[in-house]
Amino acid sequence: MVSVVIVTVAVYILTSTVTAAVSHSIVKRQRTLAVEAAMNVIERMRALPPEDVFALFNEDAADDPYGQGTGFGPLFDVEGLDGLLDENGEELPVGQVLLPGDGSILDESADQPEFGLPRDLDGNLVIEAGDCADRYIVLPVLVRVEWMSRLGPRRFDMATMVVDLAKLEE
Amino acid sequence: MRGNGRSSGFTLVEVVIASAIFVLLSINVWMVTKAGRSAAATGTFMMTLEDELHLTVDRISLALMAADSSAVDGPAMKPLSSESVSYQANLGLEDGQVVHGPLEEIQWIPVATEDGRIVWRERPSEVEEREMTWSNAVPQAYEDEVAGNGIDDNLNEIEDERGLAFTMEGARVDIHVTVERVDEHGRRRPLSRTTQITCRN
Amino acid sequence: MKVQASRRRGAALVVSLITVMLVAGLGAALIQLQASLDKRHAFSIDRRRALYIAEAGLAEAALAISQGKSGTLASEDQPALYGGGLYWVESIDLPENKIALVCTARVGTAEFVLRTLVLPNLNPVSSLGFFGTQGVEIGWGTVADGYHSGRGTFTTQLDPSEPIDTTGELLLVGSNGDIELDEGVVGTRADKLEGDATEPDGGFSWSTVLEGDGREPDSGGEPGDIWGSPPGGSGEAPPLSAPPGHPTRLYGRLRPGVEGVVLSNGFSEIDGRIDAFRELPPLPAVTLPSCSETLLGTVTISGEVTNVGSEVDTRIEGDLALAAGATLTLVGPKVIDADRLVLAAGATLRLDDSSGPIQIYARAGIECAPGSIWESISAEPDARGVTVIVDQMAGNQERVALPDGGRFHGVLYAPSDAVMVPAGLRWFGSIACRHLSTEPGARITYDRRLGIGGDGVPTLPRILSWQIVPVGDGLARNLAVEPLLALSLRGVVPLSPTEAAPETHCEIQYVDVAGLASTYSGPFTGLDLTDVVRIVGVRWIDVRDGNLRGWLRPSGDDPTDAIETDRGALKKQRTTLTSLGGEPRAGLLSDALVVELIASVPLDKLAAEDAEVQEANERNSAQIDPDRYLDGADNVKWDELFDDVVERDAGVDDVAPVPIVPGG
Repeated sequence: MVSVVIVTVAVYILTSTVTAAVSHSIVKRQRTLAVEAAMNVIERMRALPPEDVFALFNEDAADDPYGQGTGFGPLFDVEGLDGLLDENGEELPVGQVLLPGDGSILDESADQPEFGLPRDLDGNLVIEAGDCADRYIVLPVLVRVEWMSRLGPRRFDMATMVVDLAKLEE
Repeated sequence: MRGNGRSSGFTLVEVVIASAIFVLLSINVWMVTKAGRSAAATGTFMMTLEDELHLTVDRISLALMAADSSAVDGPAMKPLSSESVSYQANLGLEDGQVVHGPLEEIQWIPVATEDGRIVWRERPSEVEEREMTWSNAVPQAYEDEVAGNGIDDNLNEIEDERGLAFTMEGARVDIHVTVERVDEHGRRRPLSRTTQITCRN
Repeated sequence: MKVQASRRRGAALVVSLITVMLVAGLGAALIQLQASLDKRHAFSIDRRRALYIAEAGLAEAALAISQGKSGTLASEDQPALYGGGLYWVESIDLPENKIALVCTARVGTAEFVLRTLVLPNLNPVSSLGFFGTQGVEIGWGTVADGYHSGRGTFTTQLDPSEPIDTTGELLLVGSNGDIELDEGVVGTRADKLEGDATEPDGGFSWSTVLEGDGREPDSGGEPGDIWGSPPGGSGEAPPLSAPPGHPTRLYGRLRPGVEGVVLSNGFSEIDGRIDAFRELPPLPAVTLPSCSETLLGTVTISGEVTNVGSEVDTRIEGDLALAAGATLTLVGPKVIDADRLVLAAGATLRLDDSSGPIQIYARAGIECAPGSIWESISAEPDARGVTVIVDQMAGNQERVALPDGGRFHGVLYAPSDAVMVPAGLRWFGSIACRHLSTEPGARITYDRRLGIGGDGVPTLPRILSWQIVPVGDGLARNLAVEPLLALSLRGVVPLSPTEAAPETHCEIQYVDVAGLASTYSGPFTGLDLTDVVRIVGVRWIDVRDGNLRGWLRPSGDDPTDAIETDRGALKKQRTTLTSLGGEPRAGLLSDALVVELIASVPLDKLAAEDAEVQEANERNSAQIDPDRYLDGADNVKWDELFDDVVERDAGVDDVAPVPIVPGG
């Protein structure tokens, strides 16, 4: 009888291990989707004129360089990932492009340590208050993907910096 | 003796009941084990496939990222696509001239009726040619696409794309890859991914 | 019986143990496989994160370079912290103003290394050398070469092996159209091209050899007087009053437009190569400074005067006129913004830029009478350069008449005007204008140093190449210990990216709140920024060798807000593009492409929209045939246009050698 119990427990443990592995595999696949989505957003940014990135990805549709509402905006969906739910039960967007500033104004004197601000963004050696969206040289960018997995809420952050370092055509 | 006689043997009923319990238990254990093994095999299969896809896409991405966008040849704008790309890395300027690395090529090559492999080549057709297979499980057509019918079957804005397909717009290259292997049940299991990269040079 | 029972219990235990071991083995194998795949997966993700952090490090280094620093950031011993990872950047100064940056980033399990080659604060005007949007004509007997004023005077860089006084290298002559050589010669001799036409990008070296009399250009005559008499293939004398004693000699690179050609009569020597631009170099809009003082009416200088106005930046609401015999010495740093610069015969404009740069904005043109002189009196390498800018205006303008004597070291930018360089005016630097010509016998030398920095135009670092540096066994190294943990175990606190540059001490030249030039030396943090109106130049102490780096104005501190203005102009062009029926395609719209697209739209169509856009169009006039992209109803066929541009950009291998069309 003792042997039967031991064997049963062992099989249960194996089954649990397999189940956990399968669950983990799904979570891993979701993480891969999140990473892929974040990379694609960054790569899309790299293909754009650097000076347009802030206007195209901020919350303000009025400053879109190709006409109002033609920008990408800060939010994006990721196919295969479910967003977290807000307090009203509404699904939140999965992907978000986080930029310094308040969504429409890029103020290098703002207190946003997550982007290293206050700091000089326009390369004049001075940190000035006011909007520098038309003259920044570097722009810290954080792409965040948040989703609900089998094992609870998950988050993936990918950070980079956009710079007006155009290729010299020879 | 009576007591000893009772403890020294089993009645037929006892043996039958014990055997029945043992058989039931064995069947149960076998089923659970089989299910677990199957799940493990499937999980492992998918993980391996996922890993292969991820590595293949990553290799292609990094290779093209360092390429000179003006020296990338092959990819077309949607809805057209190409199953091969040739490119050269930009090594900098020398005397005002762009110095390129050797010609490299990433290509889907058919190996069977339905399958093919992704091959990377450096200096193709030259004596010093180097070749490496990055994946040998790439089908003829991208997932849910029917090859050669002139229709965008999988609604990804590309017609008749291969298991490896490149599209390009400006300096941005979209890489579409499907890897497909036969699992333990004999079913073909495809896994696909589309990745965007921007040529930095 | 007790023994038997014990045996049975033992057997069951053994069976159980074997089963458990099997199960445990299966589980362990699964976990091991999972862990192995997980590790690879995590490494793959960390590798990408490290790549983007390395790019952030390069961005930070580029910003530092734009401020005049070396580009070195943090170190392996104390790296900078960004995005959950660490990075440091090593920089190496290379010849021709280039800087190599190597950024190493570590995050999670991966280390990734990127290498780029950048040019600091590329001046989009002066880096073009001698450039004419609509064409360049090099007069017969002109000698054109190049030097680098940061290495000393021109004389110290002469190549003694050359038969004439020349450095024998570094020239840049370019155009959006054709480049015509030997203007002023009427000849019929044919060119014989020598060289290898298979060189990359269609470039090839060649020299012109005269046929007919069998005389080589470098044979006969005295050194420096190779030809002795003016060539005239058919025996006709060229229409020159004082013919130069040598043929046209160009040492360096000739770059006609995308569809342009180099035309030659066959009398010139080119020691260098010819390769067409792959795409049009966009010229920036002229932006005017905001001056702290204004002088009303025309300022006329008589006698000897030093500087105009009491402050650094002076707006003259009228002309700056030098009367006959007058001498005006401008001492840098100085900005003059006048309607016109007018020199009467015998007037001399002396330019002393040894203590700071000089900018002269002559909005409506330059009028120098014959006999007037421009004289740059500072010697290299102290000379900071003089910039003369004539404002753009729609239509082809002829508002620039240069003095016919003296020596000028600097840049002339007149995007709407035709400019002729007189033979008597020795020119060091560069010129960008609508149409450039040199008088027969002119002597021009391109200064490569002036291609970096300068005022009045947006100057930003530019990337030449981006490479992944293989480390470890492949593209990235697998780290055994998480880098942040490894750092904390060593008790090291990573640097903030903004504090990662090692340069702390500098010399700064600035305009103070009183409008006067001031200097400061010491730690940058010790500078009272409330007293600084704008920075004229800064040079940092390079911690790698303890020496001062060269003067550079920080990119973001242009007195004319050129970066903002240029970006605003570009956005305006895009808006116009969209309003004309173009579909916004963000992924395609690089600056150069936008300019090209705009330039390809018929002028009248754009002119109806906006005069500024028309000016931009003229500044960057393209050789694309606009009619090809218009349908019967005069609508732009955008898809064809985009497709052609994309196809052309992708077909680098198809670039044909530039045709040389014998003229005459």
